[in-house]
Amino acid sequence: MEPDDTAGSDADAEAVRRVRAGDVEAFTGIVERWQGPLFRLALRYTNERGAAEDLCQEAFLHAFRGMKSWRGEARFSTWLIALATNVYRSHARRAPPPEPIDLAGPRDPAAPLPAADTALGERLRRAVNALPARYRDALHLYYFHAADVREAAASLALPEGTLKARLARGRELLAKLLA
Amino acid sequence: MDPIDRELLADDGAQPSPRFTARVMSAVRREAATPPPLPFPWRRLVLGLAACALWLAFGYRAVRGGDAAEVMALARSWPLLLGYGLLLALASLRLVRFCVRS
Repeated sequence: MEPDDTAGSDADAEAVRRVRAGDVEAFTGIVERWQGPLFRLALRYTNERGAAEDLCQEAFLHAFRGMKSWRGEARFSTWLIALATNVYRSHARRAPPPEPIDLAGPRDPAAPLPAADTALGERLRRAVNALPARYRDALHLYYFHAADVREAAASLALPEGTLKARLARGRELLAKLLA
Repeated sequence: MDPIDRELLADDGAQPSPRFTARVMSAVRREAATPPPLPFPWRRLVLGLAACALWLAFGYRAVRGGDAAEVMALARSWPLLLGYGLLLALASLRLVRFCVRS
């Protein structure tokens, strides 16, 4: 989650002002600044680049439609990520349940292993996606926000205490899955 | 650091494909060119419901409060029935024009 420095925030506020005034092209700046973080968050939910791009595009369209609902009370990044999270969660509710996961080791011994530890990372993300939605969302947002509980709670519109409880329970369930 | 934390915190800096911005902006332009959906006609609905309630109240009062013989006499009088029919037709036409206009 990088583009949240002061210059980025000012640029977002200015782009929002211009979009509201009818300058559709000003939305390009928002897409360019936020496509990385929103895509990476979508990737956590889908584990697949194509699906993540589709979801990310849907999130941007929602943001464009809902541009008037950002009043500037919350930071633009908080508003945008909460909105994208809602899009991704709705998609996860509609999507078929994830395939059973084999967390014990490499999948097919004949298949070449992906570089470095990406296989473990991918298996872990799939394990998180197999958790009940409340724990899955808590874990995804917590790690997406680089372990920042306050930001993760804001993205999920939850009190920090509730998020911490869900994180603890989610980690327990994840540990059981990995045992 | 816990290995699970380390793996899940890892940010590989993944980016969408290079054509992604163009694709999103094309969808955004289509969205902007689409006229906004028609708002639900709450005002007309309320007016219509109020007219129906008024009509029912008048009908109820005429049947319950009026003399039965008087009501039957009114029903047998063809000029009155014709007038009533015309009034209903005019009211319906007016309502249709109101709906089409707004």
